Amino acid sequence: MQETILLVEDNPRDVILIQRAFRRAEITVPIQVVTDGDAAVAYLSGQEPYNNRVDHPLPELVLLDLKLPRRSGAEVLTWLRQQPVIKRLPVVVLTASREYADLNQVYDLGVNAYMVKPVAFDDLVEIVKTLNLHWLIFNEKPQLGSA
Amino acid sequence: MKLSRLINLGLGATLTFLVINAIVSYRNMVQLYENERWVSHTHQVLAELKETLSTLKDAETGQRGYLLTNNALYLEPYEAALTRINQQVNTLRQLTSDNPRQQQRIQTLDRSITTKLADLQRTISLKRTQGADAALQAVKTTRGKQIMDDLRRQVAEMEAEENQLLQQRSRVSRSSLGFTLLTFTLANVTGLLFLGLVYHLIQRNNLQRQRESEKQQQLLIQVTTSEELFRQLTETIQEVFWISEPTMGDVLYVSPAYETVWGRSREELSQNFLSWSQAIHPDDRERVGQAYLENALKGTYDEEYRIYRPDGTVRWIRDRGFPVQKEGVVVRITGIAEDITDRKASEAEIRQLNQTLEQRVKERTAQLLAANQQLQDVNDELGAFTYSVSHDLRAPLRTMQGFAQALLEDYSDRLDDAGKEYMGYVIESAVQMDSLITDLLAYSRLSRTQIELQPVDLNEVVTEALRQLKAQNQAGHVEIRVETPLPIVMAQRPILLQVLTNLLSNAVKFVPPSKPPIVQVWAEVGEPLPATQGATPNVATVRLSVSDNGIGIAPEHQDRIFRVFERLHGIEVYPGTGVGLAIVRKGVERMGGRSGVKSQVGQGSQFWIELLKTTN
Repeated sequence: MQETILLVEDNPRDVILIQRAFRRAEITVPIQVVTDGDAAVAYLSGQEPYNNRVDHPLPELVLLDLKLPRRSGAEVLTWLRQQPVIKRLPVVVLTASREYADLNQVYDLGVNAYMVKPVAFDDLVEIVKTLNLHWLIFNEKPQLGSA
Repeated sequence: MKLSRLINLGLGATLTFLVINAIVSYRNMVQLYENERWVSHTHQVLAELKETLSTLKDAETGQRGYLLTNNALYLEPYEAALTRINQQVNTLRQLTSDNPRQQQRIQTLDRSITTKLADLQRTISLKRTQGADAALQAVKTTRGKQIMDDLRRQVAEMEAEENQLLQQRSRVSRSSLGFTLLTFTLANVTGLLFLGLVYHLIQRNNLQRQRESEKQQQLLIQVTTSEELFRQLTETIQEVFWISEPTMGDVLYVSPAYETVWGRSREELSQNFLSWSQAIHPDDRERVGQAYLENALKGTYDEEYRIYRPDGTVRWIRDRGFPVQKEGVVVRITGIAEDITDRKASEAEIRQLNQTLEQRVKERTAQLLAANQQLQDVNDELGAFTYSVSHDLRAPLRTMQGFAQALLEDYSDRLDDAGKEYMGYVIESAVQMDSLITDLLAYSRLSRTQIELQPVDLNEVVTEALRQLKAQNQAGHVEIRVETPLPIVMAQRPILLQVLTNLLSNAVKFVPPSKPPIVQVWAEVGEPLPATQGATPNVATVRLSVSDNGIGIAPEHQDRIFRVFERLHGIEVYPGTGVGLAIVRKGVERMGGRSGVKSQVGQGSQFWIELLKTTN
């Protein structure tokens, strides 16, 4: 499977910055972007307009913002962790809030990591590098779709 | 026997003795006197006898003289004697008239004297007539002498008798005297003894009287005191005391308070004892009467009832009765009646209040619930606010910073130095604002978080804080000396970590560029905390100090710096949000401790926090 990252982020500027950070970090992994919770669910479940798995492959890693229109990040996560096939998909929450309510709730829902979006761009670059190293390079990926 | 009778007897006896004594003495005296008289009488007789003899001798001497001298001068005594002798014999006769023997003798004497005198006369006559020799012859016949001797003998006889009598009488006299003295002494002594006895008895009597008097006095005092007490009791106490007869209820005594409480005079009551019950409210009268009859003797009479005063006012009375028993029979009922009108009114009020209390409690509870709900809502709003701040305020900042940097990086060739500088400012500001938001959120979270103190190892937290500093590149060339081992304190770990991070970060930050920063961290025993809400008094604390050799803080600023947004320097001099120390103060406060600083300008600062020691 080709490595893909699914970025679930509603703020277009943040999207630009994150993509920029990936470029700065010289990470060439393709990034798929959806901008709301429903779209995320649709993508992951392979529904229209994301049913073409060639154009929209199942990602290795989901970068999930919590504050999303239509369906919140927490809801998406809940949904995901209930999916028989893809429930083990690694999810990293990338959000602005460090509030404990978010943090603990999301961990309870089964997130793999929780990172706070920094204001300083350079810090963002560092995070992206780390994400790459950790989740894509060194991490042992789970098997999806099996018991 | 009663003392007084004894005394009387004694006195009587003494009197009797005295009387007897008097009589006896009198008689003795008389006796004595008689005796003495007779004695002197006897002496007289004796004297007279001698005189008689003497006279006879004188006569004889005269005769002899004349015979011898023939001088008629010598016949003078003889002549005198002749005259005298009869007198003397008569006197003798008189003196011994009581003694028949002596009388007889005197007769004999008288004859003898007559004979003698006759003889003398004869001789004298002889002389005159026949001359001296014839006379002398007559004398020589010794007839004269014989007669004289006879006379002498008779007189001696008489004298002897009289002497005997004298002795006798003297003896009698003496013994009479002795007797008199004896009886006199005896009677007197006995009399005195009796007197003494009587005196003693009188004393005893007096003593007894005195004692009785004292006893009476005491009793009197007791009674007076009792009476006084009783009077004081009944005249001042406002409750009505009463004593009544057990069967019919006649009031025997009622205290003055009756007049105040019932509003009627006691006199009226004493004239008509029914006026007590007539004052009772008609609705209560029967019940009270019944209760009295049933319970008074048992001692369980306790009734509350209303009475009417003459002026029409109604008073509530609580009336109780207590039986007085004498030998198993109830002879009196004593009782007390209190005016409980005020108490009744209070009770009614209380009942009323109680009824409304329920209502008011309900209302208050509802109010409290509403208020609580409001607070809850506010808290929730605050939470939501914070949440939203976390997310939404940051997003534009990210954009600002990110794109400013992007501009700087991608379009640097098209920007002049000024332009680059401006972009720099934009970036800095965004970052600054981010710090501000972070710190504000942290501060706000401190106020709202639930605090659960746990034992936290200071060593570990300090190490972690230092690690974080190093990670943020803040502890570059700093020498940080930590005096291990540090103790364990009661804290909430994340808050403690934040506090320490802030303190250490400050210590490292506020140094003059010339000096290499030296930071020391140590712990010691802190001031015990006074009793404050939630903390037990005099709890032991641990004081953790972070000292630096930095710029120091002037005394007038040492309090300000702990407030939110207070900074002593511009942003370009020393970076910071002005919230760091406020977080320290608030955080430590919420963990039950205190914070402060000791510092002097140019001498460095020693920031300290006091946290609760673990209890074991």
